[in-house]
Amino acid sequence: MADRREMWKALGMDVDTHDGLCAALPVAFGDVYLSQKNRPEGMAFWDFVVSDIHGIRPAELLEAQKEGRKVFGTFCVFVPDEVVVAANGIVTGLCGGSQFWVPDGEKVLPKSTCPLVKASVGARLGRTCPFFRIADMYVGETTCDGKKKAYEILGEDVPMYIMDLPQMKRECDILKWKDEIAAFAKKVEEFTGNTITPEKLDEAIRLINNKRKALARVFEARKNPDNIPISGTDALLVTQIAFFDDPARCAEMCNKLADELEERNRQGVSVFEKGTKRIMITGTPMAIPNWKLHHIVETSGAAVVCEEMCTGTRYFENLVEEGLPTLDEQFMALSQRYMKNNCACFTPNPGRVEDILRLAKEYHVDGVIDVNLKFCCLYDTEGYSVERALREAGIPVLGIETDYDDGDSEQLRTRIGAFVEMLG
Amino acid sequence: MEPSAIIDYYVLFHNHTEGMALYQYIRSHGANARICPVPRSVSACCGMSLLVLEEDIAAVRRCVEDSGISIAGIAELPRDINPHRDRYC
Repeated sequence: MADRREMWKALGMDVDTHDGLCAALPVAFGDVYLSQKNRPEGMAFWDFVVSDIHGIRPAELLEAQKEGRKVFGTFCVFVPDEVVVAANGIVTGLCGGSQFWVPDGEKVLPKSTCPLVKASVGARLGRTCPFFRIADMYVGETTCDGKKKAYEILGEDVPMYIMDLPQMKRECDILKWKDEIAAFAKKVEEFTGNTITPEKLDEAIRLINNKRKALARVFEARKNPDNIPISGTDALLVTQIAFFDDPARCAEMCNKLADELEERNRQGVSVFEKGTKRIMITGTPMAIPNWKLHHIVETSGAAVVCEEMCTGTRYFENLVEEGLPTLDEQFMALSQRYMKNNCACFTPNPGRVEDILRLAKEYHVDGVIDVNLKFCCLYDTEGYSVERALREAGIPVLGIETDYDDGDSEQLRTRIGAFVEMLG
Repeated sequence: MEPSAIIDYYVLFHNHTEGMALYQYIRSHGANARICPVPRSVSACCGMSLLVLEEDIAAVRRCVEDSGISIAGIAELPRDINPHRDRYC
């Protein structure tokens, strides 16, 4: 196999330390994915991407940079990809889903910071993530206090641009977010040297909408009450990779997978035995390669059929209006779509509880696991109203706080196993 | 822990283009293989390999011969897949 070390060295990575992650991946992938039976054939694409996760896509991004294109690294689903794509830029997700990166993050951040933030900062400062080395600009947003302060530290090392996301959903907040998008567009134009025209932005809106529609089709197939055509662990992988992949290819591969899942539903081909309990996971995002909770649920007698999280429905629900003639109207349409996202950073945030109750019905769930990364004050606090609403609706719910470390796996197995047993 | 008595086969490649080409050839000829990262004990490099079960290895070897696709070798390893190990990366 082609040795990626030369590419990583040229990127200024700490190749020897990064080697530890390369060593851990095959074992974790084997235990989580190769142990599954009867997976959809279409998952081969995502298996292929994971098997060389720090090689294939980074090499593509480097080729694009040679052609003069700029790469924008983003941390959150609120940054409008459409604006970057309209200026011929490329959006990539960044590393942040592994315990491997946490110690380097803890060198500069308090231990009582959420593992996603610690891992992101650690991946950059430890020089062990190619995406963090490749991106020309990093785009943050004000969705949590941990990230806001982390950006100040990252900003000493990399060029950061911060979008100020309003924390309420009044009309003035939607207008404020529209202005933020317009200001970001100006910055992207300056940085890329390319002008964003209404035609280019409309094309980008359609492209990203198509990606959302394709992901939605995969999720739609998971709603079948009589058949589970794909494991939650596989569906999570599809969403995780979507943050990194080329949007057109992502849509193409997701549509192919959705075709197969729909056929599986017609044929009654399931990855779980009939009667397996259906679980929805709500809460904080699960960045790649965070597969812990899904894997534990799915090796404890249940199946995950939906994720109400940023690496789930929040990533693809709601489309941006297409065909608008002016940038002003397009920026407003973008603002309206993104402000429909019911992140826990908003107050009040009744839309999230409504989403969860709606999704519980649509996906025919038997129970909900509300999972929050340690030290995520926003989602942890919102868990109070989420879990109360679920109990009032008669939907069993289990609240869990965890991080990336393996140390609580046995405890999680005991609690989740008991919860699944309680579902009957 | 005792090594498993079950042997798994990993087809190794010089590059992922050849890896994907052989995977598609294998699947289109009715044989079985699964894409996965190269096991660490086989190679220090990250990259793709094909996991083949003992009952499928003869058919896969035929696919390698018939397709003419270049491979870097086939490694035999005691099975090391344990869904209850709870070691994540």
